[in-house]
Amino acid sequence: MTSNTTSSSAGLARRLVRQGLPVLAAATVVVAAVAWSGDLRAPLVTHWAGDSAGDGTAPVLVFVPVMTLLVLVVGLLLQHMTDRVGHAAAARTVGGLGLGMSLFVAALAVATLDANRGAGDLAVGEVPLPLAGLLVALGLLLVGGLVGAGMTPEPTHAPTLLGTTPTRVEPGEAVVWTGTARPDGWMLVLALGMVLVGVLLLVLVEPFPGLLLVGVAVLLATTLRVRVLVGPGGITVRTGPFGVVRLQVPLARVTGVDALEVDPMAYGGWGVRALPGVRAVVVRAGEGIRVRRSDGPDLVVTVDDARRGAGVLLAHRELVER
Amino acid sequence: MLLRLTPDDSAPLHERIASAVRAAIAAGEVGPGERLPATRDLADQLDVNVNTVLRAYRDLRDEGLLELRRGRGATVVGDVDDARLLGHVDRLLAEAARMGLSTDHLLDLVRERAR
Repeated sequence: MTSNTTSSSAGLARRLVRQGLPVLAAATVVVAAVAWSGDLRAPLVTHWAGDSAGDGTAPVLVFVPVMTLLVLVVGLLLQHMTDRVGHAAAARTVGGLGLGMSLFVAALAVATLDANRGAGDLAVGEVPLPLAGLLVALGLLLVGGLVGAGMTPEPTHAPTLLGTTPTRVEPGEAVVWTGTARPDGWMLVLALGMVLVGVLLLVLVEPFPGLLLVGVAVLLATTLRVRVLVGPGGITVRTGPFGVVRLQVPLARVTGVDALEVDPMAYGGWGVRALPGVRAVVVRAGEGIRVRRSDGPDLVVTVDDARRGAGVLLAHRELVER
Repeated sequence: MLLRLTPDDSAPLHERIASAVRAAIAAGEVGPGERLPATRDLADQLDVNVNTVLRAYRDLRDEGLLELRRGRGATVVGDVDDARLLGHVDRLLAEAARMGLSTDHLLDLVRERAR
């Protein structure tokens, strides 16, 4: 009972910091804009060149809503995501980034508004860079990052394990399993759409952005292929154009193998991902293999028939241990 | 797809790899149009030279089970029946060799039975 009360009040404090602070930061931006609305320069100087002279402007009615929304989205969305991340270290990184970036953007917005106070008569180039505000914002990024990381709870959302297919491997026998994963259909549609828009751009408007778009689409389409090889040598994952991306865990370094349900959001989305504690190759939602290794981050890869692949790796692993 | 390389035997490595692929095709583990692992990756897994795997793939291509193309790797073209029949032939040849029977003699026997 006591521990329950303690943990729930600790949980409340955490929620106040993780969700309350971004909301407070966003409110501060709005309050500053309203309080200073009388003597703000119009349009606001919102960008400064390298020599610290202003060189870009935005209307206050665009700047304030956009910045406020950014503060809220970055702060709350990333905090919300931490529970879906299956690794504590990765969750802390996401949580820290969320709070830090949220406070950073809010401080930048307030500093920018402050620089525009009473600057109605100044030309764009004469409005000085709010250097002190920038430093404060950087400080908040650091502090917010550390506090946000520290306040992130252990993720409770564990991925669903699927179990492995038991496989028999005789001593001296080599069993090699290979599998692939087909990407989600919408990614192919996306790639196809990019090619279409790219070709239209190329022909009708400007060749260079068109070519770039087609190139990116081709890169995307080739990265969607993933091929997994499991055997007495461990696990090898190949993806990318012509399979240039190659991830490998030698059998001797394998400490655990699971087949599991992969949620792309838990790894920050689709593609080749590097998070603290895990490397992931995710081309779709659904079954995949997770390999824990003794000398580095876990490896997670989406692949069809993952139970069997995991079973083969496990069988080789047990043969070595025997 | 599952490849099983038996621990036994006196057969050279490339032949064992080829018969493992043949068996996988015969079992329907891998079908026409599907790709086999890159030679380098399979060689790494089995801890053998890349050329050994390449030789196995080439033998299978000569049997009409695979298609080899530069940059695209090995694609299965033969079907379950092709692979099964070739597997039977392999076993027949191995049995004949064990009995000290010459290939010519074996072929005579096959012709005899086919009549």
